[in-house]
Amino acid sequence: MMENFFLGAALFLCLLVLPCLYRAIVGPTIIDRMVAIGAIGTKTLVILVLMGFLYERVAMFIDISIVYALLNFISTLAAARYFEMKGDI
Amino acid sequence: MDSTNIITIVFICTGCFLFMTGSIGLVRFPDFYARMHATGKSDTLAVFFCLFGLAIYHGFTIDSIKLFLIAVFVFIANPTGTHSICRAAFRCGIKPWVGEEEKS
Amino acid sequence: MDKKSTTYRTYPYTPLTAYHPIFSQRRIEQVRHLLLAFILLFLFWLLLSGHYDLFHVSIGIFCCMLISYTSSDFLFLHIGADDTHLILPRLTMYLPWLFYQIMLSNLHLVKLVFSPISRLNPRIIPYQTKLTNGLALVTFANSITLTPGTITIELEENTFYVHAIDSKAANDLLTGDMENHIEKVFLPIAHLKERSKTMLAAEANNLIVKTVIRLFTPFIQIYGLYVIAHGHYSPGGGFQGGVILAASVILLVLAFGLHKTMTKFTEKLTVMLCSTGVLIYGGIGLLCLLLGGNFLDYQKLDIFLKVGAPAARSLGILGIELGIGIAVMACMISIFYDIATGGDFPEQDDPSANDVVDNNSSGDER
Repeated sequence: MMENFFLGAALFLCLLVLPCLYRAIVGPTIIDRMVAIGAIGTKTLVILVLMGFLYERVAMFIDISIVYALLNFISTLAAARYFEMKGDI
Repeated sequence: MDSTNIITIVFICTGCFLFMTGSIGLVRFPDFYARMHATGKSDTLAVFFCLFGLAIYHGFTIDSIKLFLIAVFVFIANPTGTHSICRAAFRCGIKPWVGEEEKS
Repeated sequence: MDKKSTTYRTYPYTPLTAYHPIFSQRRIEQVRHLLLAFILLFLFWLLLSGHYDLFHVSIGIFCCMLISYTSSDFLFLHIGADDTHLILPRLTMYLPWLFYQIMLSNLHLVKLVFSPISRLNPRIIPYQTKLTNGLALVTFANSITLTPGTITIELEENTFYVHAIDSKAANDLLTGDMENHIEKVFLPIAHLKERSKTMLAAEANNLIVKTVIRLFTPFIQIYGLYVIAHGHYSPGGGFQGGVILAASVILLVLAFGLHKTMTKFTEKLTVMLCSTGVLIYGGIGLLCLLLGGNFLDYQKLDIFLKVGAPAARSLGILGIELGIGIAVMACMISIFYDIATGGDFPEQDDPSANDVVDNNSSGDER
């Protein structure tokens, strides 16, 4: 029962990636695309944990999602830093 | 169907709903800063709800403390990332949108 | 400290600093920072590691000593170690209020998302703050960003520039409710005004990112070491842990500029670590070969270790993971340096516009 619910939630989050992807493709400026990718990363983090519950290997997937959160943070900061130094989009 | 399952379902549904509002805002809002409002924070709260629900489902173990740790990390890291990217946009000279009547 | 000595010491009291210059006030503070950082990092390690036998705990103690030695003062820049116990309970009292506030304004945002665009009324408002401590400013800025409707865009001296999405969000902020709460949290260290002012002047730009990265770096490094040390139980291992360690150094570069990081973590050190890692890996492999097994045939190591074949295999894998971790970390950092400097020798002062990170050193220590 709960497995089905987790599967449904994970699928729903996967569907929600689509609007973000729309923004990442259409987005007028590069920085819009960056924000969209960041939003996708946040969803992926939750999807990873949900996958851990589905495969019943929670400890492993939690470790992966910690690293994913870290990389998401770093990529956002690096992009911000880059544009700030460049001074122009 | 015991009570922990119901609590988990409520929490995760709330989280998914917040994720959904964030995504819709990302598509609908007119300018960059407004889109940041939509994603930067409703996502943060949504992650917290989802992970909290899962931690309740998992029971009190090391793993659920780690889940809580991810939530804390996201709670500190996400606003910092939002701030830094907004500042970059501001310094690059992206003007905020100020309403339709002034634009036309 | 002075207060205590006057209240209950009746006999003539010579302060510790009188015996030897090694007991100077600054040195004592450093040792306290070191100890507190060690305790915090070790708690974090115990939380991560699910294995509580003597072997793993001793690895943990070693790693925490290493990290707390290299980066303990990252944690206690804006509040000293002797203030931490005053701040933390107040901070935990503040968090539920913040959470309630976040919920309320999230509801408001949900309403906005499903209403016509014309309801939006974005504006940028300046907000004068009376907070002086760096950590208080960062807490305030992040609280503003977390409550939907307002984003901190810029922090100059003591003025926040806040982007508010509509008039309700702006008015909520301008009542100053949140600032009062945060002022209460950091009340015990309000007397440290002078010290924090000099510190704030030193990092006028980028205060928020710098402070958050300072808080994160030691924990990220501990996490990387945990991934290396538990490679034979969990999905991690040398490669992943090495990349996480390298990521922590890249974070430092993002916050403090390339030059400052390269003075601490020099290219020479990178090359040395890289070859050390390869040496550990190859050395263990060759040792097995010399002892009559195949390359990386860990069981043969039992002749030295005398712990039984399975334990010897486990120890051998740990050694290999360590070698790989060090090599990968050094390689990643070296690649990053090369890309960021464009292959030039970094000493020359020519920050070209296209560098990811250039030298905008702002005069702080780290």
